[in-house]
Amino acid sequence: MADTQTKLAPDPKGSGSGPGRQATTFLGLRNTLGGNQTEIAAIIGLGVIVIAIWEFLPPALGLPRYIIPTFSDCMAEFGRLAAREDLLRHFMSTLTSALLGFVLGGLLGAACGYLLGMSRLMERVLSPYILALQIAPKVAFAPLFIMWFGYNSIPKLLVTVLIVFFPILVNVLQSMKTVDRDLVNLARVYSMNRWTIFRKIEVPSSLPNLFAGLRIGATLAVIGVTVGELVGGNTGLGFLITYGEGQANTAMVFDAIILLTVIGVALYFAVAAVEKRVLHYLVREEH
Amino acid sequence: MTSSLELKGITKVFTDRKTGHQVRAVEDMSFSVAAGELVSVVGPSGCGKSTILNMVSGLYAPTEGEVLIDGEKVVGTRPEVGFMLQKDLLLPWRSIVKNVEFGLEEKKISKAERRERAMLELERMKLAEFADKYPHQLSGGMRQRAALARTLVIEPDIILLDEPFSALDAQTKLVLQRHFARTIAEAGVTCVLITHDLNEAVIMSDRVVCMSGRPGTVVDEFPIELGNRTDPLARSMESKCGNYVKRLFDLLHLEDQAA
Ligand SMILES: Nc1ncnc2c1ncn2[C@@H]1O[C@H](COP(=O)(O)OP(=O)(O)O)[C@@H](O)[C@H]1O
Ligand SMILES: [Mg+2]
Repeated sequence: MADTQTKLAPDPKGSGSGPGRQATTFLGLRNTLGGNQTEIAAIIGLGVIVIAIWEFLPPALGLPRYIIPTFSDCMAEFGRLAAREDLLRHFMSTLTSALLGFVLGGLLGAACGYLLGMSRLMERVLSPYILALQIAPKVAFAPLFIMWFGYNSIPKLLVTVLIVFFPILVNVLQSMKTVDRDLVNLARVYSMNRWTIFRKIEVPSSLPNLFAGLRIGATLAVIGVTVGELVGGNTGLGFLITYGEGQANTAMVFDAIILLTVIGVALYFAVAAVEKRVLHYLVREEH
Repeated sequence: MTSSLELKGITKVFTDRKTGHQVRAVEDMSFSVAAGELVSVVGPSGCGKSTILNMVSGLYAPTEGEVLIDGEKVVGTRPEVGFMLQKDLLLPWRSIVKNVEFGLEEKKISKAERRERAMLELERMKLAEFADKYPHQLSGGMRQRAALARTLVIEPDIILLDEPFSALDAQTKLVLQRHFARTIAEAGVTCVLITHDLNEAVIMSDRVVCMSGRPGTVVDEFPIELGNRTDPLARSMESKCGNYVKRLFDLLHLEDQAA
């Protein structure tokens, strides 16, 4: 009986997931592409409609371009910015700061999260301060950093690091507190030491939370850089926003916002792609 | 290879972290398991069965009394002890074979030998073809077999099973009980099986220890004189089997009324 069962055991699963497995890969494909053909068509169609409204509605309502520049105005402004205002340099400056701030903030946040997670006492003593700092609006530190470090790229980097730091710290700390005690006990019964348990149980257990933190951090990084650049400095897309505002060049402001969004989206999807690879063993709920 | 186990006057008092109240989980508990013997421990839920196993595995010390393995006092965790719970405790981020290797990683053996021993154990569990799958891709019964493979691959002197079948459906449970019974008997290893399934206690073991409600202590213990314990299903057909189950039922029922 045991033998028939063991032979049979994979079978119902196998036959059950014959069509099931196909459906899964199909859904997986759909997820990466963002939908099947009709859905993709609908998404593109909607984009075209929005752009058409943007292009034709404001002029039809008699709104001047310094209030709402049309789609073609913005595109033309892109060309001008690239040719005359060194758009690439501003774009790269913002991108580098966002990336660097995200990586540094992420590393620091994760390191502190793991450290606090290892020590109950430290966590208890520090948690009220962490809570206070977490609530404090990080972007408000930007002018302070400029007073301290001057009009260069350090203040915006610091704001970014600071704003990315907390969600990652909090997520990692939370995951360290909720590691399955039985898994830790199992490792202890196998005579693993504290460090081995950390490496082999706690860190892998914390990865889903770490990535949740990183995804939040990716979106916040762009906010951090933008605020840093808005407040001071003479480079970056945030600077272009204040510069465009001063010249009443609304299209420039629009373009800077578009590019900032592009950076944020790219960063987010990069994190999500890495997450998907690293956490491949998780059962994904597909809708 | 296999070890004997003895619990001498074990009492365990927990102090609740939040309220500071003291909970007596186990009270003056004594019983022994001979080398190669399989003893089941039954008792109402919350009577301290898991607590006993944790003390035997050395995760924490008893408040009073001592646990002896081969006459030696247990003072901490030791690699000769295998440990298995209701939860399979497979690491979801590791493939099945890597999970089986987990317990071998603290031993000073080469990577190749580790893999070889893990694969051998998986073959015995009829799981070789699933070696590279991840736990979520396996059924509950297969996962529990993988957990047994991980437990046995370290060639333990004693294995502690804490309700390993209780999360499974009835049919899988029957198959797995038989599989475990054979594998454990083949390995000849000393085994303590915690269960709240009275029938399971009778058909799987050489002897049964029955505990009272909290604070848990031994109210009765008796040998099971049925056929070979490698065939639990055949044992459950024997007429004496029912008598043993009835005896346990009465013991536990009486305790309930007294509580
Ligand atoms: N670490 C602990 N701290 C406080 N109380 C505990 C702890 N572990 C177990 N207990 C208490 O001890 C009693 C016995 O628990 P347990 O051994 O898990 O029972 P069983 O496995 O028989 O169901 C329970 O009342 C439980 O609440
Ligand atoms: Mg229990």
